[in-house]
Amino acid sequence: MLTQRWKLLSFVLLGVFLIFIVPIFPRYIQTLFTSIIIFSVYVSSANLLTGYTGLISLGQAMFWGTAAYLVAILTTRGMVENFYLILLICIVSVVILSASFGALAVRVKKLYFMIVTFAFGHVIWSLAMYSLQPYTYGFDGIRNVPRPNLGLPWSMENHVNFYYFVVIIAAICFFILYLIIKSPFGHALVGIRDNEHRMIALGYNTFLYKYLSYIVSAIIAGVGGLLFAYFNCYVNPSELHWLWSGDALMMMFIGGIGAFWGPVLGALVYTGLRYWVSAYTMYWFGTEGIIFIFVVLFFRGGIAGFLNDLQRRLGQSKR
Amino acid sequence: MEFTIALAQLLNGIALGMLLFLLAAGLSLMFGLMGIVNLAHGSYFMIGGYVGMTILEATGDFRIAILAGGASGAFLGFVTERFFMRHLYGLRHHEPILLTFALSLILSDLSLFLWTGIARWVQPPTLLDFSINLIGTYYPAYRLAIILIGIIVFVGLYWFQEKTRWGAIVRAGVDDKEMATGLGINIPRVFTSVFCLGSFIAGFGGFIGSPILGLHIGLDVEIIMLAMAVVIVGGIGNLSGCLTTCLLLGLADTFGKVLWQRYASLTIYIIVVIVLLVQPTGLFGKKS
Repeated sequence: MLTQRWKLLSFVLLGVFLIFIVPIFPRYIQTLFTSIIIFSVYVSSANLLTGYTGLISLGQAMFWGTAAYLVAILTTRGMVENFYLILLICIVSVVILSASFGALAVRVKKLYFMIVTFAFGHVIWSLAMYSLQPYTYGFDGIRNVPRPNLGLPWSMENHVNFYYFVVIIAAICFFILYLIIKSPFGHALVGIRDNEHRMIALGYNTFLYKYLSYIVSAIIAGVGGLLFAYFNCYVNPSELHWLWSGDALMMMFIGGIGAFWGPVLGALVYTGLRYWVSAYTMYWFGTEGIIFIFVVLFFRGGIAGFLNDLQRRLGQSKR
Repeated sequence: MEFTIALAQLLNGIALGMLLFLLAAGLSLMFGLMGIVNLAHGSYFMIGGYVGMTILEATGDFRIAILAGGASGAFLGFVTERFFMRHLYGLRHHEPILLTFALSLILSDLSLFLWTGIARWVQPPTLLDFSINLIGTYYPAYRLAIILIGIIVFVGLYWFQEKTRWGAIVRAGVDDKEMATGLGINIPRVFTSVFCLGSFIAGFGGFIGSPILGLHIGLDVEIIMLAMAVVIVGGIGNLSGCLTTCLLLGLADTFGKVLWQRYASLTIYIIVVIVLLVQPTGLFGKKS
């Protein structure tokens, strides 16, 4: 029961911190936290697929970037102003994209799945980079993406208001993910991750489960990308690049794979480190690689696994 | 398209396919034997090219540079296998793959540090720096030499795999690791050797390909993408299937760039999608 109470307490503390403490920090720290929250949404989407379903995708950036580009194109060209309509367009496009690619990718075996998602991600990246240049402006990307127009009395140009907007959308995403993971559907996904043959023998249509998990994960990643486009006011092809898909896996791994709050810890540590390291060196990717190798070889459970271990050891010493 | 242009493009496609084969042969052998996808394989290719270029500038001897390129690839492969991958065999799939991803990030930044971000070109050796008259069109001899080298490597690997004792040991390892261990074969040593051989060929390919592809940061990703497509389209099967797939994709990419410029980068992936729809295990893969 102790752990349950601790969980509730830390949850309340997190809420108080995000709602009351962060807005009084200087602006650059607020910006950092806004990005951490957006990245957490993105990494959690990948966690549903990799941590809970056992499918390693190297194409998660495809959905993040597609939504970000849609926001940028629709708003800068003045085609759609209404935020809710843009949200709807993004979700529908991401569903179409993931449903068509997923139908191909989920059919193949584990390692092939990774290569295939890698290849699909590369296709979308090269579309944005070269083939659709009239719309995406290629390497230069799209500048001056406006903040969302919610039709509410609060202006999103104010960065504190925008911060709250990001917190609310992210909270909705996390709530949905939590419901999914705790539902029978979520338990079936974990079953597939651990032993697919057994699930097939039990009569589950594992293809359908994996396929739906792929689509849901794409939607959440798309919402992350949408938030990012509004936050960053600038979108370029690196949002679609496979390195960004790899970064999702990195953050997930650093935080603790398959743990619900792991992605949040991972995004926090990753973004903080990146902010700190980039002040000293331009070789961030190499640094990231070194950190990651360290985590894979010595801290295989990530931060969440480490905390769990610590908790267990403390519990034993008390008894 | 005129006949002479078509002929030149045909040869270009074959040369690209041969370079791709130098990379994909090692990649698919590792995939078959150890069940890992080595994302750092493209980095061996790129670094092999850079090291070869540096040695060529220092010594002026193309042959030494070729060996240096291959040796640097083999060294990196050895380090990857012996000090990193070895701790991860038998784990769930994602750790080894992500580890090679992390290594490719490190190697890419290392190359950026050592050779800067400026694109470089290597001159073909003077012996081969001329053009041959082929039925009315002039074609660089160096590219024909690459095609020849590709054929020689293919024949060499084929002979190694099918006719030598070492090849038999590797094939035994691919088929059934436990049984091979039971027969007294030192499987970890086989793993290391295969890794070194595969990455030697990749580093070697990176250098001999540099007069055609150039050397720049990001080459590693471009080339590994193509090699991955080879693995999907060809499947994990035999060496000749791998070569056929490389030639197919090399030709598709080259002709795509001529006929369909704007969407050329998609040609290969359209083939990937079609193959996945028709036969998810790849054209030459084992059916499960």
